[in-house]
Amino acid sequence: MKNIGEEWTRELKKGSIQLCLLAVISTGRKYGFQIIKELREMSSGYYDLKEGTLYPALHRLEKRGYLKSQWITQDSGMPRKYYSLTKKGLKALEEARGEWSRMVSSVNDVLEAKK
Amino acid sequence: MTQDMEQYLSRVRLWMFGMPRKAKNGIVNELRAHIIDSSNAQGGPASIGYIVSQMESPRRTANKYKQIYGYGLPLKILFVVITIFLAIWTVPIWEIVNPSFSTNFVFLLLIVFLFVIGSRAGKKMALVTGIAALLTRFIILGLIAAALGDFAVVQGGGVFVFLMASIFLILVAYIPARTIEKWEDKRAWDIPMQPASQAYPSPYAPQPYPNPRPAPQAMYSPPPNPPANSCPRCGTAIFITTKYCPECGTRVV
Repeated sequence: MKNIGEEWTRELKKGSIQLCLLAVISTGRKYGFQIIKELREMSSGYYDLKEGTLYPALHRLEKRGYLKSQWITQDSGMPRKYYSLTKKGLKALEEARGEWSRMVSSVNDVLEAKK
Repeated sequence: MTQDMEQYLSRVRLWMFGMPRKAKNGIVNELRAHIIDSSNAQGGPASIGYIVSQMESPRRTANKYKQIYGYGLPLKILFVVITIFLAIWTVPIWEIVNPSFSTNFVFLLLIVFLFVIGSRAGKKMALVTGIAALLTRFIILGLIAAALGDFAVVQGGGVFVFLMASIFLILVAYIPARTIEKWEDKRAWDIPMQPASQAYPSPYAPQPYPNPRPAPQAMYSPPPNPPANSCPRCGTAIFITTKYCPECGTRVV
């Protein structure tokens, strides 16, 4: 049973991570490390992405037109790549939010239905 | 310690061979910024070695980006040129001109080459090379038939087989490319699973950041009673060995 639980958790995470990334970035432009940190804090440790998952995912979303990026050099002299949502990304986020709400509501209805 | 980071980054760059230069530079700089940010959050440059050791292998990291960006223009042109060169010698009419020449062998070579291109260079490149092979074969067939003045060799069932063999070349490149792309798309969102105790820590427990696993003492041990310091910009308490504020990124002297 433990393996099934892990597999389901993995699939659930995979299915929701894009939505979470877009949601985190929608609050303002952010750089990779900041996204990892905020996502981890917001989800109480549920989403703990490694750099090997996050950065290629951000590049993929950027290539698909959901994100745009910009290099900004800090006062300290260290350049960072900031990501922000494009119009397409914003629209995708709104659609995905609606779909997520419908899904959660439907699953809850099924789980809480009296036998 | 920054030596570990630069060594890791140069190996990632090496494995990204053939990718567009701009993309490679951006990826390496982004990873460098991530490592520095992580080290600032974990106690300064002394932790860089540990952070790098926890990252994915340079090859695996580079492969993830390769699937996204593919190869740069010079290599793409080279692939098409090789395809055209091989495709020229796969036209069976060469065996009529010179019976000792084996077009089947070159055809086999072309299949292997297109398969490799398909599995390494992505769907678009697979289609481009496959179509280049098809067009080259038909152009050469037409030219040689016209030069020989004997169009009988390109009529009837032979043309159909020739067409099928040419379409097969496109599929040989395209099918592995599409399969790998689908597979990579699925794997792109794989999140490594952690033991339940680490994956769901108590919100009240102090949580080391960003990685809940503590650094092994043998690899990195923080200095005893590190002197306190604070960021001049946001006031965050930081180690005196930390160069950048983990909160606002300000350089701390």
